[in-house]
Parts: sequence; structure tokens; C-alpha cells
Amino acid sequence: MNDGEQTARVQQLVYRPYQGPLESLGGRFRVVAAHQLRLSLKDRWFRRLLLGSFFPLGVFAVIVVVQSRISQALGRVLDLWQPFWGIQLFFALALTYLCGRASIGEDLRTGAATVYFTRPLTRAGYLWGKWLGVALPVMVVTLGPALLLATFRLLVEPAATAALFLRWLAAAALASLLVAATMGWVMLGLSALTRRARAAGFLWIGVVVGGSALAGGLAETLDDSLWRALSFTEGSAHLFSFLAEGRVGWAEGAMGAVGMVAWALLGWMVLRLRLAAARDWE
Amino acid sequence: MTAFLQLESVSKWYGQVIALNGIDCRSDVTILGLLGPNGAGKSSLLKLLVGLARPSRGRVRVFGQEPWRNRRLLADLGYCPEHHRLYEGLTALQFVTLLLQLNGYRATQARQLAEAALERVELVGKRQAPLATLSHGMRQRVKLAQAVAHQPRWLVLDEPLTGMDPLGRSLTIELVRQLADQGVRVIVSSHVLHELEALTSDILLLHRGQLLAQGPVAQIRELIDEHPHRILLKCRQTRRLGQRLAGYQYVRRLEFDSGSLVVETDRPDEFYTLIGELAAGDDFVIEAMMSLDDNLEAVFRYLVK
Repeated sequence: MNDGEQTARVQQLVYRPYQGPLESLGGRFRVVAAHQLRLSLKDRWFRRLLLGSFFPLGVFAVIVVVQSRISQALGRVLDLWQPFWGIQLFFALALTYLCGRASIGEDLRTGAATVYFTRPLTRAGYLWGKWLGVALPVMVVTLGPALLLATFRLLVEPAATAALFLRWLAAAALASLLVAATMGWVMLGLSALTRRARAAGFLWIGVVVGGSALAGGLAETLDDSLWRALSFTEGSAHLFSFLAEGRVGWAEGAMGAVGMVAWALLGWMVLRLRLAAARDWE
Repeated sequence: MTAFLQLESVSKWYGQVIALNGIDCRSDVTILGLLGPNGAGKSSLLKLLVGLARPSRGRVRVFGQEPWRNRRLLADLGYCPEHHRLYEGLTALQFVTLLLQLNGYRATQARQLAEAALERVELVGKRQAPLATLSHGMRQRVKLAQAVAHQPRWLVLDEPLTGMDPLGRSLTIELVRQLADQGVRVIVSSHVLHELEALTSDILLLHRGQLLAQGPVAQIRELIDEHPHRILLKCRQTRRLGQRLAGYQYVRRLEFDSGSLVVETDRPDEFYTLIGELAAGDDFVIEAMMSLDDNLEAVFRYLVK
């Protein structure tokens, strides 16, 4: 053994606590989010849905091309954003189910939460990381295709102006953010309610279907379609349609935004209350 | 001078359930064992020590600081939990790397440290294996690797030897001793005295949330040896192993179950040595070994009379 090898061996045996640079405490939510996304990417249904969410774009691109050729003959422009957004919301709902159902409950069940919190990580950092792990895929399937469609329309449609393009972008960004916030916090709240991922998934389906039924029931009973916006799927569609094209009134758009914020707050409150009662959380 | 560990009238209750009741203790030993049967309050005490819970009454101090949400103290902690179903889809390397990143290490450096830690627990060949495919003993070693990877100043190990094969046991014991020699403070919990005894002679003895005794282990050991000791062995050749063990005087009884063998012995030390020798040879593959604890409960009943 030469001198160099001897020195290396001796250094290996010496126990020295690390003194080098570390990531800031506030930025560690990114590690939680990246981990959550890595787990999601292992699911082949997640990957399929993520890719599949861009396929409707092809259909709408064809409609845009055809419409731009015959719009003068038609005398009017078709409402493209509302159906497009409705389809993207379907993907967002499915991805939220796949990413979020095992998020919090699974950590409590397996004891992973205790491992997280014996590391220098804040509770808020953990929760924001978990939220981002759900919200990012949702934003990818709502904002991503919307941006591409808006760009395509700007290039192809004679009536599309830069101002209109910017309006579409702003509408897509705001609606995506609200959808991601709502779906993310509601799903995390449900995931904290049960330690079984499958049960959290069923609760999610129940909230989506039940919320729509409740909003529809209120609209029928009170004879006012505004109440439909209380369902966060319809609320989101109303908001986006209002922002992007002005096809629905400001009252419906505002009701959609209020409904989504209320759902997000409800999810957050359920999450906090549930975690406050969990022994591993304190 | 500030002691490593100070507990002043520490109580912890969850609703109507009292988990810890007025514990007073001061310790400055290098390796401190926490001994008690299931439900004694060991896990509750560990939670207080690692800042996962706050005492309902009293004060907890580690290195003179309160651990509750104390990030500076947590940065120096290596914690090996009892749970073993953690992120089963991840590989051993991904798991250790993830936890290092939560300590603030950047990805490349975290990966290097994780590789080194897995090498230290002799699992470098299994670093790309998903945790779900590893045996219980190997998972224990992965948990140990994540606890020591960032070179902590203090270690808390919750039942680290449970379910380990004999070779894994000796490796873990050796590693913990090495770390203690290098100045790392270790708190290790177990419900099996013989496991703790291999690591330290300084113990806290807990029963039903109360501290029964603190200090050298010799007296308790004598009491325990009066009682038969039951050990479960998981092995592919249970019949043949049973035949072999039946020839020893200190093996009082053998019970066969599917894929496992329960041995009752009144000389556990000699039995553990024998099993170590058998495992080191080529005749038997012993996959796991664990104490069934009945004897310890009997000793506690005797102590609290």
C-alpha cells in the first residue's frame, strides 16, 4: 500500500460532521415535491394520462384550421375554450386522483411522516411540497395544452390579435392556478382523512360527483344557474370561459372563482384539523 | 457541565392515556439503552427526544436544548425508526438520498454520502434494489444507513435489531460501537435485554410509563436468566435445524411453525453464540431471529410487585 492509499483509508475512518454548504430550510419543500413526482412517474397510468392530455390539442388544432378557413362563410366563431377546458379538467381530475390519494395518509400509515419530521424540515415545507406534487401535474395538463392552443390560434386565426392572445394566456394561467390549488388541497385533505390510498381515491370521486350533484340541485331548487359554479369543475369552466372569451357573465365567473377558493380552503381546513389530531404530527 | 440527556418530571399523555409519568433522569453515557416491554412508553419517550412530540408536563433537554421542533438539533440527529414499510417502491439508494436531501444536501453530494452509508452497512450490492424486495433484516440496515449517512452527532435507534439475521446483528452492533467510539451519542431502545446488553451496560428501565431503574444492567440480567427465554428463528431448513439444536442441554423446548422455529432456552447467551456459529457456517441459512419477550414481561411483573 502506498502513502496515498494509507491517507485515504485513515480519512475514511475519521468521523467528521459535515460543515459545508446546505440548501436553505425554506427551499426543502422542493425535495418533498420532487419525491412525490418521482413516485407518481413510476405509475404507468400517470404517464399515459400526462401524455394523453395533449392529444385533444390535435383535434382542436384541426377545428381551428377548419374554422379559420370557413369562419367568414359561417359568420361567427365557434366557442372553443369551454369544451377544451372541460376535457383538460377531466385529465386534471384523474391525475389528482393518481398523485394525491396516497399523499398524506400513506405517510401516516407507514411512519414515513416521523422520518420526515426528524429531519430539519418544517411542517409547512412538508405540506407545500406535498401540494406541489399534486398541483404541478394538474398545471401541466391544464396550462400546457392551453398555452399551445392559444399560440396555434394566434398563428392560424386571422381574427386572433396579440391582445387576445395575452388575454387567453392570463385566463389559462389564473384558471390553472386556481384549479391546481383547489384540487391539490381538497385531495390532500381527503388523503389525510384515511390511511388507505384506495379509500382516499373513493372519497375524491365522491367529492367530485357529489359536489356537482349538490351544485346542480341547488341551481334547480333555487332556479338560478349561478349555483352550478359551486361545483369546482363547473366553477372552473365558468371562470375560464369568462376570462378567455367573455361568453359567460362576470357574476358566473366570479362565482366560479369564489367556489374554487372555498373548496381549497375547505380542503386546507380538513387537512389541518385531521393532522392536529394525529399523534405523529403534533 | 451540560449532560447529554436531561429529563425533568416528564409526563406525556394522549387524551385519557398516560404514556409517560413523571420521568426524571440525567445521563451522559455514550450509549444509553432504553429497555421495556411493549407499551412501556419507550416510543413515546423517543418521540419526545427527537422532537416529534412535546411533553405534556416537565422538561426534556438534549445537549442542553429543547428538542421540540428544534431544527438545529435535528440537523445533528440520526434517527432509525421502528417502522419498516417506508417507501417500498424506492430503491435503497433513492431512499437514503432522499432523506439526505431533506437535511439540505444537494443531489450529487447526497448520492455520494448515501453510497458510502450503504457501503458501511454492507448493502452496496443491493443499492438499486427496491425496498419492497429486501428482507426485513436488510431493510433494518437501510434504515440504519439513512440514520448515519449525514454523520450525525447523536443517534436514536428504535428497536434496530428486531428481525435481523445474526450477521446483520453483529454488523449493526459493531457499527454502533464504532460510532460511539468516535464520539457519537447513541440512544437505543429494545424490549430485549440481550440485544441492549451487546451494546451497552447503561440502561433506563421503563414499565407502564414509569422509570423503574437507571444504571448497570447486571441485576436485571440475573432476574431475566431465571426465566426461560423464547427465540423465534426463520430458516429454510427448520426440521434439520431443530434436530441439530435438540442435542444441546440448554435448549428446553422446540416448536415448529410454517417456515419458523421457536426455541425455549434458559441460557440465552450460549444459544445466541451457537446460532451465530451456525449462521456463519454453510449448513443453515437463518433469515431472521427475534426474541419473543415473554420472559421480560415476567421480570417486570416481578419488579413492580
